[in-house]
Amino acid sequence: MEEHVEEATGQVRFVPSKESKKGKKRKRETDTKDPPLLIIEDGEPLDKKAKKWKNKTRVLILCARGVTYRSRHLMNDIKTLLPHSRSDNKLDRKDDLSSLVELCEMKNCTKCIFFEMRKRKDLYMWISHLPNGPSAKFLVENVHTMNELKLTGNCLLGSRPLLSFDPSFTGSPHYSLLKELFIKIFSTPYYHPKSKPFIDHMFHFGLLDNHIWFRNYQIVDDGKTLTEIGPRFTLNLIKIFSGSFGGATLYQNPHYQTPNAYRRTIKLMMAQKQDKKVKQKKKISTATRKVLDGLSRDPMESVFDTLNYK
Amino acid sequence: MESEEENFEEIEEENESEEEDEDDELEAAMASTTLYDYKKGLVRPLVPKKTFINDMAGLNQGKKELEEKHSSWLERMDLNSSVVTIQKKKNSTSSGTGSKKKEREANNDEHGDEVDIENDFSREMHFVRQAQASLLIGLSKLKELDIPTVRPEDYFAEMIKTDDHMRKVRERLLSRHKRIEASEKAKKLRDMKKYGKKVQENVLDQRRKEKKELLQKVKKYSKGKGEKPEFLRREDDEEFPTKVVPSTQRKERRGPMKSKKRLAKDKKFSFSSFKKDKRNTAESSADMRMFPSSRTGGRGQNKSFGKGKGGKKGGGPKPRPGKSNRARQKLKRRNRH
Repeated sequence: MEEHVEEATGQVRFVPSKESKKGKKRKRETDTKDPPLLIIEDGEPLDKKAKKWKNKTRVLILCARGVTYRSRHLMNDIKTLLPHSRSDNKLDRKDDLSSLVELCEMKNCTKCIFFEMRKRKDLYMWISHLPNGPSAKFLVENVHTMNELKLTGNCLLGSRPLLSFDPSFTGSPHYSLLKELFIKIFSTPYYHPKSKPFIDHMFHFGLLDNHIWFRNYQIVDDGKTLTEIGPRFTLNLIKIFSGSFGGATLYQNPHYQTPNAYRRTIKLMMAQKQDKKVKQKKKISTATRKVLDGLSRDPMESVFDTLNYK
Repeated sequence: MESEEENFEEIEEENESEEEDEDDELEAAMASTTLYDYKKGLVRPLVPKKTFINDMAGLNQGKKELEEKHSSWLERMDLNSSVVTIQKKKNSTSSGTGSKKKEREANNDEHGDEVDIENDFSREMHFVRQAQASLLIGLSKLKELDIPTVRPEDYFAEMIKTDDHMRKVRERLLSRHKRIEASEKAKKLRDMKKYGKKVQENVLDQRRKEKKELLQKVKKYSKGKGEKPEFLRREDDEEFPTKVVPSTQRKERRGPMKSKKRLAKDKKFSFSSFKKDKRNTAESSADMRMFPSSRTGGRGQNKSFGKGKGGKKGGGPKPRPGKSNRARQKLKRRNRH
């Protein structure tokens, strides 16, 4: 391992030495039985390609303990979609989020996507730039994984995506910041060794109802049509922080309602409805009783009653 | 009063400008109970709105920091769609006011797209349209940079979805297609049946009508008023109109045609055109021809009704002698030989 000082950030990182890297590559070449595919990519030898690979952004994708299978599958889908991603073990719930900064540093990652789940119901997603932020926290809703959706689209594993954004992403500063974060995280670096030279799919970030909608389309017929690949999810922004996984709040979504509050309001509404029903029933029953009482009384009963004048 | 109103306005301004320093002032104002909604004529404390942080400067700063590195388009690959989202209001009716309609039309001219969030199809179509709009820009950019978007056919590589998954997808599509086809077929059949029924009804109606007309004609003719119906006319009959059709002719016409097989069977097993009545009558039950008295002597008849030893009374052959008698007779017969 060699100590590497990055010029831009001035940070010390541990990067495997060049020799070992080369050795790895050679080994890989001998391993696969299809050498032309790996040696010549993008119309040029892999070594040259590796030299051209300048943007060394890596994204750490991980989740906390206690996520359900669907969210885990979603995480895996995102991992497969981003060839520049790295994974790590599930984070313990006890651990502080700030430990993620260290973890990312250890893994040479400058970006992070972190999933956590509360009550085994509400999935939260952090996206963060490391080490100094900014970061954003979202509530993830309407999750449909790639396996679940039987969509007909398919694309190369590791091909670089185009990123399409709703025009209103440029409207307000918080959305433009989010757009920038998305670009940095979801676009695969040019000449990334795991990437493919063809661009055959695109991510779309729609903005509707104050939610960000993620869609993944395959480009078919040289751009004439789009077929969806999956997964699908929507992001409901909660907050944007200045630091990574914390720090001062830069933006707070006024439209955000916590899932607990939402459930509570729904429950209250149902309760009111039921209350109304019960009250109405009571009213009706008393009314009918009155009528029945009137019917059951014998009209001749009071014929022989004498009036008492006192 | 005036001073209080001023104070109120001030506080509102404070609410809008989200500075944390002024929170204390707000609290002080709350404590002095100057926060009352006089405009509505109600005396109730005015609850300050919940403030949401929106640090524009900080956001811009963060964005700038992010943008600095690797900012060439080929690294970023971002595209802005030109299709604007116009969210359809939940309570909006299709027939809006004129001005609103115009507005909407103007929006549509600018590649706007009205979306109903609740409607899945409309929402997804909107996203596809947006993506397609940005794809147009992206493809032209990629063409300029000479980056391939189409994979050559001899380039095989691992795909995101496994073959197994794609097989499942294909199967699902096929099954759905089949289901749709089957339902369509059933629908067609149903329609055909309906149509056939109608045709049948029409035919029956026609027949009824014809019959009615014919009967009327015949009636008229029989009264000597109308013309002779066509089916009664014969070439040799013009001068001697007969009213009644010969019975032999009529008989021939009656009944359906018999098949060759039936005819053969009738010949073999003999078929009489009238059915025998199987029920007994007084006569038939009194008929004793079936039980010739010369043989049974009436005994068989009685026995058949199970009425004991009535046979001794009647004539006919003698009853079987007793055992000892029979043995004696046997001995006698032997001795004779």
